[in-house]
Amino acid sequence: MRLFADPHPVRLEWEEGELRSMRVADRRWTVVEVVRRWRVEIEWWKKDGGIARDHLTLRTADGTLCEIFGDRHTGDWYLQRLLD
Amino acid sequence: MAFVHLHSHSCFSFLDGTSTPEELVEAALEQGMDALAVTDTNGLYGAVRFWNAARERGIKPIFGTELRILDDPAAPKGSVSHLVLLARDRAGWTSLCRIVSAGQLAGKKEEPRFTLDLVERYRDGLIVLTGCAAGAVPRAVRAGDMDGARAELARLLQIFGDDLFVELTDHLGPDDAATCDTLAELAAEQGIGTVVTNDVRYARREGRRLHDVLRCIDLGLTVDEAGERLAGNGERWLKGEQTLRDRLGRFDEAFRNARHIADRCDVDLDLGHQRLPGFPVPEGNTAFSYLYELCQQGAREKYGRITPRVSKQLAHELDVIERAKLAEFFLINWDIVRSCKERRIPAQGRGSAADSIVAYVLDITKVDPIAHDLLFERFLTEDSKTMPDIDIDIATNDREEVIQYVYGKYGERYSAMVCNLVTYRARLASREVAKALGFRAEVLDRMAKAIDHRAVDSRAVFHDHPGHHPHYGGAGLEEPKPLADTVETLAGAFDAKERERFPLFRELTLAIADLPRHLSIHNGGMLITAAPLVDVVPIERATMPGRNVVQLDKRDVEDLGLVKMDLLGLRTLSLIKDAVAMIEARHGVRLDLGTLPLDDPAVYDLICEVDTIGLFQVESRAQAQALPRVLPRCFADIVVEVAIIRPGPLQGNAVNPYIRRRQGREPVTYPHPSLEPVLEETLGVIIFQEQILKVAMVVAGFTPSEGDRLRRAMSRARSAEDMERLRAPFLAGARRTGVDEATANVIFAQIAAFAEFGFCKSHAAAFALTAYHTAHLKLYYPAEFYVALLNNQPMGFYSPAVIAGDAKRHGVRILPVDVNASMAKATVEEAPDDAARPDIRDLSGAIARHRACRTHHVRLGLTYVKHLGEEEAGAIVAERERGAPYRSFEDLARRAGLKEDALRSLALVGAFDALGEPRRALLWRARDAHRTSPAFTRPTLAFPATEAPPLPALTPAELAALDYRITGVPTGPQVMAFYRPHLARQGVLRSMDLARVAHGQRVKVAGAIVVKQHPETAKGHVFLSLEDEVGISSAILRPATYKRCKAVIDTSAAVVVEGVLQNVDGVLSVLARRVEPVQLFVRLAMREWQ
Repeated sequence: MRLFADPHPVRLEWEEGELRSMRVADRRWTVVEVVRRWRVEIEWWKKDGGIARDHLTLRTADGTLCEIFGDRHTGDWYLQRLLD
Repeated sequence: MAFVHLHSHSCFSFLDGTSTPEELVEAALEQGMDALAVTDTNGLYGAVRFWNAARERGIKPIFGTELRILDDPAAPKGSVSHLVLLARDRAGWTSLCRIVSAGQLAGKKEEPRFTLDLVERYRDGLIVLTGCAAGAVPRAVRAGDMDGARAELARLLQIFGDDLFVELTDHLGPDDAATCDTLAELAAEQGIGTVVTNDVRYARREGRRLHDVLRCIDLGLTVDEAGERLAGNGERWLKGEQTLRDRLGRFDEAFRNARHIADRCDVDLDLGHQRLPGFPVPEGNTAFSYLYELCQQGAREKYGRITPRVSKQLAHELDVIERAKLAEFFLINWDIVRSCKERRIPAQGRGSAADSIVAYVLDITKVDPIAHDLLFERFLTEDSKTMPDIDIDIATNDREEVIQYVYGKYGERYSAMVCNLVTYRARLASREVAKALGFRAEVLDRMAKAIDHRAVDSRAVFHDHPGHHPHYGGAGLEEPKPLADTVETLAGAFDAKERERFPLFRELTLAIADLPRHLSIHNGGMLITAAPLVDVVPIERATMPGRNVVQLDKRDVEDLGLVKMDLLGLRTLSLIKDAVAMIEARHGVRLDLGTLPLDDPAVYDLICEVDTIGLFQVESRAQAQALPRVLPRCFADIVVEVAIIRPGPLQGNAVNPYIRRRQGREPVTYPHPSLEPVLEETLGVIIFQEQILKVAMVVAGFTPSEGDRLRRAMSRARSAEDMERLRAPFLAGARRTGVDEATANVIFAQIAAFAEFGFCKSHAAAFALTAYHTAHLKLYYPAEFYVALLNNQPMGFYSPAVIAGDAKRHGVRILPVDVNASMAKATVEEAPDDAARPDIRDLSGAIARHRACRTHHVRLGLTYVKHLGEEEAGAIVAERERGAPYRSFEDLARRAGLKEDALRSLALVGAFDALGEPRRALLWRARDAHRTSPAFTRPTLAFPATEAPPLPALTPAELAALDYRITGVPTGPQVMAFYRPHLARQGVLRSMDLARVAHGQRVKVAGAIVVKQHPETAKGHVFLSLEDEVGISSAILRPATYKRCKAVIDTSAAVVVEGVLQNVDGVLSVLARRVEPVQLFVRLAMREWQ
């Protein structure tokens, strides 16, 4: 398992509302399954609005499990963890 | 129609739900739902409000509760698991009431003990859901204990069978989806149905912040400390079906089951058919025939000769009562008042009941509705949906005896007190929200204090917020305006975090306003039921030991069509009872106030002189300003006076027009000629609620019932839209009667402005009667009046010190506490008239001419002494009466068993002066004297007795200071007398000197601030009542002046006010320009009023 201290920005690619692939830097991963999805919204009272994230655990075509999260404030997505 | 939410919490889950039932209903409608369940925690507190809101908005209400079931009932305290119960039918409602009541009564207040056995015992008519994440089954699943989950599910299945459903709830938590899958599998294994729920805690997504704050308040933590005890996200809102299907769409059957359950539930809470408990009547009578007989007998006693008008009105009312099947209701009330009379407990009906001649001839009310032209339909109409309301005022000191009588008569299984819902007001809201947001303790105190007393409604503090309360504005009412000195001015005291969170504080304090905080026992509302109480309503423990309270408030009970008695404590009636007893004992006169003619000119002289301190309803500052202008000369005038100084007439701009018309300065006009007969008695101005009915009848052609419904609807209208809905039929009716639309709109605006706050005439008349009685007592028997007034504090507008000052200005001496003369309470004592005392001179007019006696004075009671409670005071008196008068300080200490603090207080206040004992020396001896007392229990710590050295005598100022400090009642000069030479040198006038100053002159006046008042109706003006050694003066501060002088007023017990004298029709006041402090050597009590 790899946990990134500084999560890597990712770009998600959707087709007809389904998540098809994920691009991290130059690498493109085909998503075959959204394994888990959850939402964290905490510390809303803090100056920066706290943490508001949608988390996804994805299974890619090569069998890797990736945990990514989307920052609900900015709309940006990041790769946080890889289970390969 | 498809999905229905079956698990939702409203704000009646106290600190675990943010939305009112009305808001949940609106949210359900917005999501296209046609039914909704509200399942508050451990109770049915919001059920009636939910029922009303759902009926009004056309959706089906489903009643339920989520119980916290003890996992191990044998343990005194332990873990709990949640279980949701829904009522399928009326039997289910009864089961809910029985379960909630039994669980609540099995535990302590706020610590109920619900068990699964209890639910099993009363499971008839219930549908059961397995609960949220804290339910026993989902909790076991989350813990990975599949066997435990299966066992729990099997246990529930065995009890509830087909009525059991497994809840599938996904709040987008990391494990929620997997948990739902497992729960669905377990349910399928055992053939149990599933149902999708969302365990709703707020109607809309944005309610999450407030929910977190409420949870923090409940947990006693700040948001920073709460951590995982707060939900991990904001998904507990009332979501639409599609949003839920995005996560749970794979459980289609669970969605369909929610629909099916909703279809199976059908409960109507109209309990009116079983409302009357039955009243025992003599053999051969029905309830109605007995009532009829009592009325005929009562009419003969009240009227002597029964006129055709009396006979006709009586027949009409009895006819309505018979058809409405209310005979027993009247008999129950008659019986309560009759039992009071037997016990010589003053009791009288107030409110609209006084509109009824039946209530009058049964002696429930004391005002003759024929003589005062009252309107029965304001009290009861044939098609009324709710029970009529009879409020009975009872002497406060005897109220408990009356409550016990009712319990005894109907049994505790059939009678209980209703609850009073305590809601968040500005100070409490700001304190608790700020605390939850992590504001520091010292800042919390300053914030709470900075919220002016006037702004008890946070709507007034935060009026600029776009979400300000909709009640104001549209209804023609004046919106509350904030004073400038709200919490915002404290910004300088905030640290960086507090400054950063201040916008959140504002938002959340506004959001929390008016939400329920907790229940308290209503001070008079008593429910009596035909069926056993717990079959009809939920009850729980009250704070008062041994007392239970219904989880519904007065309005709820009324809406259910149940019988409610209002047994209200009125201290003035205790005053009257005490004074009458003393008059009989001292003067041999047995007063029957009920038979007093109401035309004694001396009583009206007294009131016109504004010699009204201590008088019921007419003693306030506002009354003091109005009385010289209205100059009441008959009972009807007092009725108007009582009704007119109220927010309604003030906001409806009725007071000044009435006064100007009464003074002949403005012509009497009517909004429409047809209204002349209706408004003639009040000179064309709407003053009484009955007039609203009559106006609606005349202008819009309404029936009395329709008129009363309009009045009720107006008083409940919460928005401009509500008011507009009422306007249309009124205008339509006006068109039919030929009143033009512009005039009809003017009239509608007048009655709308007035509807919420106004008095009904019958209520004003009942109060006016009590006002008259208190005036009679003060006029003829001032000493007895003051004694009774002091013994029934706190009551009325003024502190005991001011009452004592008033007594002295009527030549009634306040005799100090004396260990051989004082009883526990104040008493009347005969003493020679002391003409030598300059501070005790009868300055009054009417009283000086009419008082029965000049040698009766007030002897202060021992309970007024600091550190002496009723027990100690009683011990002193009992020992004196058992043995002999006390001979010395040590003698009392030895015999009465007082503690040192009490002995010191008695010594300092002069209770031994009559024994020739100097106070300072006694103080020296108090410790040694205490050692001889039975209360002294530490003999090993005893020190040798010592003799006091020679000590100087106390100065008059020191004596006065001790009075203020120890009893709060000066027996010598009022404190300002000590400053008079200094004040006189500065040109400061006494209150009585103002009468010699011309209007518009600049003056200075000084006094102790005895009342500070911020009426909402005064547009930010503040009024001070300043007492000096000769009377009370009045100062008015404009908003800007008040802002400038607020610090001085808040921190000074007495002030010098410099300003311009205003003399309006003989009413004197100083329009303040400057306020300077007077540093007093005593601390005074000030009363602050809105």
